[in-house]
Amino acid sequence: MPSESQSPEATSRGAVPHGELERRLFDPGLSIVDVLPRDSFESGHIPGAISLPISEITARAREVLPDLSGEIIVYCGGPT
Amino acid sequence: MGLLNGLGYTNVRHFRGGLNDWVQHGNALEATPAGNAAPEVRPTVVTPAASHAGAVSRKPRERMIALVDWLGDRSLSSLLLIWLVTVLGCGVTFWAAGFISHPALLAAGTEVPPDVGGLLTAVYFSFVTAASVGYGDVVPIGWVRMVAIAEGVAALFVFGLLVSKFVSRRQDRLIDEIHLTTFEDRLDRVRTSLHLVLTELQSIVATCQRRDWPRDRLLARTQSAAAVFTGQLRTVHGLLYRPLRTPEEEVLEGILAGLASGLEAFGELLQHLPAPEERPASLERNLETMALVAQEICGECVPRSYAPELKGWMDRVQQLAGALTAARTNGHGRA
Repeated sequence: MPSESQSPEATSRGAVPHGELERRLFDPGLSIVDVLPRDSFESGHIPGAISLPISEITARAREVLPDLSGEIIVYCGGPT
Repeated sequence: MGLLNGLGYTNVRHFRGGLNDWVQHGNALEATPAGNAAPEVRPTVVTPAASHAGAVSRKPRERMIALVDWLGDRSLSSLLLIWLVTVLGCGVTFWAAGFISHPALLAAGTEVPPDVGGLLTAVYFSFVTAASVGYGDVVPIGWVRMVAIAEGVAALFVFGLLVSKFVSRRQDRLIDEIHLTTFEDRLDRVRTSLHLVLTELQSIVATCQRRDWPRDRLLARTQSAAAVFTGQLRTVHGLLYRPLRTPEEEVLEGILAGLASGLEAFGELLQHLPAPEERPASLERNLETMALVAQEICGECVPRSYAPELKGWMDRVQQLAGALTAARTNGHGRA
């Protein structure tokens, strides 16, 4: 079974360290996407994030994220 | 993330820590009623501690109801404490009133003095009022009467709450037992149904390979298996994302493993079935729902924290769901 690892290779594979997200919170070139359900988004999300629940990704991704090559950072609940 | 890559997005990265990591670092969250934050609207920035407080109720009536609910949720000992504190507080108020306007209380016709003896009398009066006894040996004068009335009403209410809590204790225990039994029942049903679906799927695959069964019969069997499987998938999804109780880890692991096997079997089965256009619409819909629901089972997104093996199974389920979607869209025809 694949397991999530926080090793340095993870960063180069495309994971985002916390500090970078903090710094670039209001960067207009960056889209932050929240894939949690809509009610979770409404009760609290990272500032500036866009709501795109997993179930809606295939249907609405193009509408919400028109730029295919734009920079996107995705997050969900995260490990507790 | 894999989904987005599959859709053609080339620059997608995953913030693995997610919301929990964000909040743990003390960063603020945003809460908006709208789906996407519009730049002109200033959303309310809430601190992590208050983020679950929700919208502030402006109407006094809503606040009253909230207060009543809050009181109702307190434990027996808290309620007793609240009652006691209220009564003592009112006693002190009555006594203090004696300093502001003479006389505040009359005991047997004479004014209650503002000293220690007076304090005791005031507290006694407070208890007598709160217990709605009202001997009448100590009586309030002037504006103090309003305080006495308010105390009487409030204390009566808290008293009633205390009594009802006593009564409902037994009922609460019974309800908890019923919940537990129902929950275990549900889990059991999921396990049994999954097992049956898997057996059926294996039988269908074996039959396909023999190539002597009529296609319609196979499709019908696949369809009903898919319907049952999707139902179980939804139940498990609900169990994971709306956890009222945590299932035992071995049980959950078994169920997740069953889901993974099922998804694998469906993926394999798809290769033997006719092309997507020739499949019945209801089967297609079931397969689509199956893939969508399974894709949402993400080890890191679920509200509770699970052991790494369980998370691994959840990731496997997600992976297989992606593979299923791919297999559906490139449907192989039956030779």
